[in-house]
Amino acid sequence: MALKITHAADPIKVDRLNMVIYGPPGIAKTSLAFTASDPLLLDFDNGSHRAANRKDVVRVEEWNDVAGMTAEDLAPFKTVIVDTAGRALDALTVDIIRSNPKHGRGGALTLQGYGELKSRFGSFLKLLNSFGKDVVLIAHMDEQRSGDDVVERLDVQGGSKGEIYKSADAMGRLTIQNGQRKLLFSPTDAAFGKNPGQLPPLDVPHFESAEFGDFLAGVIATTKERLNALSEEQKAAIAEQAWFRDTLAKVSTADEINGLLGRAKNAGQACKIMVRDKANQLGLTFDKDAMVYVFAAREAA
Amino acid sequence: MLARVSNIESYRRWLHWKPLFDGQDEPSLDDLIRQITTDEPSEAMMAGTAFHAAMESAPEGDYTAFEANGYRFILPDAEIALPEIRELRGFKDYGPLTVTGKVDCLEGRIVIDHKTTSRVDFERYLEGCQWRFYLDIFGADIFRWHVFEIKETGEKTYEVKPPQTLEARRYPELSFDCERLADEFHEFATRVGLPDSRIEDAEQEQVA
Repeated sequence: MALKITHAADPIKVDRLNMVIYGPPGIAKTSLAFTASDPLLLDFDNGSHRAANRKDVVRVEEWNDVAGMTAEDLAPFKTVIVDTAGRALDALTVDIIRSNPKHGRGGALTLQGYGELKSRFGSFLKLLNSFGKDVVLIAHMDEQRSGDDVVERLDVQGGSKGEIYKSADAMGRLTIQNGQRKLLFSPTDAAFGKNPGQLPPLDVPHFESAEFGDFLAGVIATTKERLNALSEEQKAAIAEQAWFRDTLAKVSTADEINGLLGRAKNAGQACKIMVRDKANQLGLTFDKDAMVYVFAAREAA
Repeated sequence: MLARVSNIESYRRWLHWKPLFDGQDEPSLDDLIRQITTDEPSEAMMAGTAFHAAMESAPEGDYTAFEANGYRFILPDAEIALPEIRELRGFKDYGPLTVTGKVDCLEGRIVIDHKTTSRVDFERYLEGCQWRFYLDIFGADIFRWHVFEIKETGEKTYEVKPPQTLEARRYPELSFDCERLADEFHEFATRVGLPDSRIEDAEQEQVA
């Protein structure tokens, strides 16, 4: 056995993502999910019939109904909706225990069983992503009391919840505020969220309005655009940090350090810190009046 | 006043305390102050520190075990990508409070943190303030945890499971949330008379 430590890879273009939408029962999460681009809903919860704007649906009775899906099966669709992720994990749990009774005890998974659940659920999402599909994972919300606070959490069984947090590129909660349905991606003290799209609180349009038809498709597209912009910024930041790392390795005087300050100013916080650490290593301190590094002895004088 | 991110997180957890297991006693104010002001690491913390020490200095390569600080870690079959920038300490002023934290690794706009734990609890990481402050202090966009579940198999010997990766992302209100919590902590620290945090290995000089 060995742990292989490698260099980090370059960021890649984001052409698909996994988005979690969670909210209380009856808030129309499924209807919202159907506004994604060319959706296919995997109905683990048997609730799709309640959606006002129902589109293509696979009624899932057991995990085997989805385990063998192929790229050809999914070709007409751009988005796969897992409704709900919690029920999907329940179905997978049943399948794991059925195929290997040693992995279950009293209907629950053993540690090994959880290992298999993590591995197979992760593989399932990767398979869908490998077909080029966006995946929307729907989850119910559970309100838990913590002292005087009420916190909102995904209503998913025990350890498998972690698989959803790990797989989510974006995570939003659907809620009603003053009669208006809102989709909120930013986390708060009381609720989880992932907001890589830097989205403000979004008003969900009324079911009957024209804007509702492709609402989630727009949200997913905006999030991808931002993720791809971030990838470019990430590449630039890595290059700049590499330049400072290489350059600072050759620096040995205050003048050389000071010659880097102009570039460091616009290079991001990490590069500034690298310059500071190198200056400290050389026994320099920052003269705030002159705005340059000087030898500590000179500043003291 | 200087505060470590970890101290603010201890304060936040104390304020919104919930038991990790049935029957766990709620910590008192004295417990919190002791935790923040004294250096009494538990066995789990010392093992974590040793694992960090090994990871910190590990160049590219294949490792079957790490040894550091008298601890031995039996490593799993897994692959992990680590950048070359490691152990970087940053500072940021939030009004009268300067907050400091040291990242395990940094690459571009991604902060990477290694965690060792006997039980993985992603919600505990996500609800914490550590990732928020680190993104704010380092101007980064993504906070990535590599969570290593470890199990003691002998004296100062641990078996390590393959790392699980979790990410949190910058969001528009992030700086405001950090400012609010820093204000709250400063008010609390002033009220109960907490001393400045000690930073042994860094200076506060900033590039203007």
